[in-house]
Amino acid sequence: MQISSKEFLFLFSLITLIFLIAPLFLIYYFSLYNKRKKKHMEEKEELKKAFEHELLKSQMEVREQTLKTIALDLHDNIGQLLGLTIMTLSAINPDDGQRAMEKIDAATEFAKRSVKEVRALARLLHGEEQLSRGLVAAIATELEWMAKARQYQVIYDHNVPEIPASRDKETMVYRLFQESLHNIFRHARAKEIRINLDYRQQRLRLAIADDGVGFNVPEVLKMQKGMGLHNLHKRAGMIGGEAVIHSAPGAGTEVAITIPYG
Amino acid sequence: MLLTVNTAVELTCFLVAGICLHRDESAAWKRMIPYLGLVCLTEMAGIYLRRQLHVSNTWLYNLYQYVEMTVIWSFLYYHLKPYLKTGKWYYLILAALLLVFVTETYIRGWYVFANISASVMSVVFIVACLYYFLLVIRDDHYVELRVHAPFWWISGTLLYYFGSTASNIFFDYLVSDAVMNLPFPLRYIVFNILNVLLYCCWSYSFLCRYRQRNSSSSSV
Repeated sequence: MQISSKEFLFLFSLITLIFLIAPLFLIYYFSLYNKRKKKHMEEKEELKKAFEHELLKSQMEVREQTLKTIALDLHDNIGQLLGLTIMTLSAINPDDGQRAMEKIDAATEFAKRSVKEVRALARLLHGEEQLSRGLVAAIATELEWMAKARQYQVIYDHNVPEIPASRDKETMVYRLFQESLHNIFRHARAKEIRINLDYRQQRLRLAIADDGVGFNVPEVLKMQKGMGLHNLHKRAGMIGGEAVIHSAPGAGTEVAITIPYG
Repeated sequence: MLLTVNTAVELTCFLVAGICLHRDESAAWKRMIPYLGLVCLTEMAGIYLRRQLHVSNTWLYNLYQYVEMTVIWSFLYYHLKPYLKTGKWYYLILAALLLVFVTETYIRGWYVFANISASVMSVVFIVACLYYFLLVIRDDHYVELRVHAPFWWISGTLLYYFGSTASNIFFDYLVSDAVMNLPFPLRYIVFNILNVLLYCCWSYSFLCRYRQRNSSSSSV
């Protein structure tokens, strides 16, 4: 079959038109994709900023929590010991040598205990330094302090001596841990607290469980007072993980935070 | 009359390149000035040979094709280079293009337009342009396309070589007497449109380059 010159020209024009439109569409698609790339990068930048903001907030909260503990300890413990030292020393009768010696020994004992408490406080004051020794050690220090100050049976279990350093994630996890403990002090009325830190296959799981009064999770989450729980979810999500809360009235509570780590 | 749509748009682009690129720190961009000067000279000489001396200008366009494939491929490669790990492709493809061109001109002679070489060259340039787009998309960095000089240069190149594919494929038929005797020279019109698109995009890319240079030097 032969085609005429006019038919050929028509076909040629059509093909040329298609060959012109095709790259135009390609260029348009390319620029559209590039715009989406920009949007994606802006979103990423916003998320990064939000994370940095949350991280800063967590660092401040860690410090605030440490200062609260110190204030409480100064008032309840060291203050009492020093008061007793003053009272004992002021009650000394120089004429009664035997009793005076006993009182001096007692005052010395109170002063020594005060020094010990101040040293322990100094260790706690370096909240930042606690984390520089690693998350496993920082949790141990916090629990040691808590066990001494409050009447809880604390069981701390971890499957590795230390996990790889990741400052931002460690701060966030440490703050989540503090927040969970704080919730137990305020609401749980628990006797036993079990902490489990598990690190394997580049995943970190921190579980904080208590044998307290428990609560209805969906109900509390709906209410304004569930802000602490929302915070747990939000912050765990920000470091690419999740926080799962298991609880029921009278059955205790378990908060499990799982994050990609390493 | 040497001034046609093609020569007018080529001269304009040459002037824009001269103004915008003569102080450019990149030698590759600067090389666009003599290249566009050569394009203008070739086009005018081609018109002069055909209209004034009434002799074939095919040998001139064949000669120009050799420069075109070297300059355009080198400049395309210059834009691809930041994204590539190896430089061997530049020499391999250039050698392949030259081999096709030399073989065709050897077999068919200098007085027949080397349209097979032109088609192969177009395909290589189209693939290189598309590959550039792919590399830019895959790259983590964002570029503002509206003022990105390489994007406009490559877009113009892609439009021109993609659009001229049909003309290259059907070249023999388009220059046959049956088609040439028709009242309107369709191939000429197509190339007029393609040239306008190409040189407008290139001129704009030179302006973007000029603005980029000025804004970066004023911010120092």
